[in-house]
Amino acid sequence: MTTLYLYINLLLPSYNGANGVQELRGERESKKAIVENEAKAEAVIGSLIETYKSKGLSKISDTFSLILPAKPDIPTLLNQLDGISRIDNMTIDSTAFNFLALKASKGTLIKPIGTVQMTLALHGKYQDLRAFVNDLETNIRLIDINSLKIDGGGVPNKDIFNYNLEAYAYYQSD
Amino acid sequence: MPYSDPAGLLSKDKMPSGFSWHLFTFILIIFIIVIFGYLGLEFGYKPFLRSEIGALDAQIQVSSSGYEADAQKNLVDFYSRITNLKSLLQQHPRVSKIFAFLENATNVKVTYTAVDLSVAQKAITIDGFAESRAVLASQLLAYESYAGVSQVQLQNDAQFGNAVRFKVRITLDPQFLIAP
Repeated sequence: MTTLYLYINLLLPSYNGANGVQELRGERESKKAIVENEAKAEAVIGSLIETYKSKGLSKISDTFSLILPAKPDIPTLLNQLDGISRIDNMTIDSTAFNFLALKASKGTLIKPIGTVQMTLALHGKYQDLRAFVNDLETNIRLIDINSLKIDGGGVPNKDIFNYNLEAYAYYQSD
Repeated sequence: MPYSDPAGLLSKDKMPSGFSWHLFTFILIIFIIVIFGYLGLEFGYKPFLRSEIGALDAQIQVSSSGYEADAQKNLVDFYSRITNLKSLLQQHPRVSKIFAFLENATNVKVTYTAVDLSVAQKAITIDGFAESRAVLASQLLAYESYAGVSQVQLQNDAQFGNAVRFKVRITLDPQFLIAP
């Protein structure tokens, strides 16, 4: 009876119970698996980091930062708009900037995208608007035109029109 | 009343000699195995497993801080930027394409007073004047036959002096402004 009692109350809990041998073995195996997976992941990360360094991808990354900066960077955006409008003989009458909600990222390593909504009131010739729109589309910083309204047409001998343009510029939020 | 044993089952000379000793020895061996088994698990195997788990924990800690934080951050940043740019560029609208549309699809006897493009709705709303209703009708046909136009809807028209004032909404194909 004593032997049975010891078997049930000492040996079995020590093997099967909480913090028992089986539980510890399971924990050891799962941690072994983590270590193995980490070793594989590290090998991949290591080779990626080496590629990143050796192929000068940091310079490409700098260029990408101009297309999609890490913050809204309104001063640079304003400078770019001003520069393009001067080159294309367009006059910017007013600008308004609005920060939209961050777009959720599609993965754990993907940072969310922030959007700056720009509303511009401009005037100028139609041909100059064409160039202006084309330059905005191909600007180094990615700009998506969302709407364009042309007003003041249909008046004889008038070649200056008013425009309202809404566009989005993006940034990668940290 | 005193207990009687009529069959004589309890008499010493009827019990097989040595029976209790065999059982006792067997139980003792089992008892010793249980005790040693318990001691072996508690003070031998469990500490061994715990020390292995501790070593693995230390390995996990070391490996997660194995690479320079800066290099990791730059790489993740680079990957994230490429992925985000890819998805943004796939939807990057080429609004300048509507200029070609307006210039190529417009009848010379039609003038526009306002043009309103919405990229989100993929629609252009045009206010203008046509020389006559026949010109307006031919203008609507010209819009409809332009590649990339999915629907043309005349919202209203009205005689305005010698001309016809009109408002038309043109719906574009989803890819019209996206394709290169």
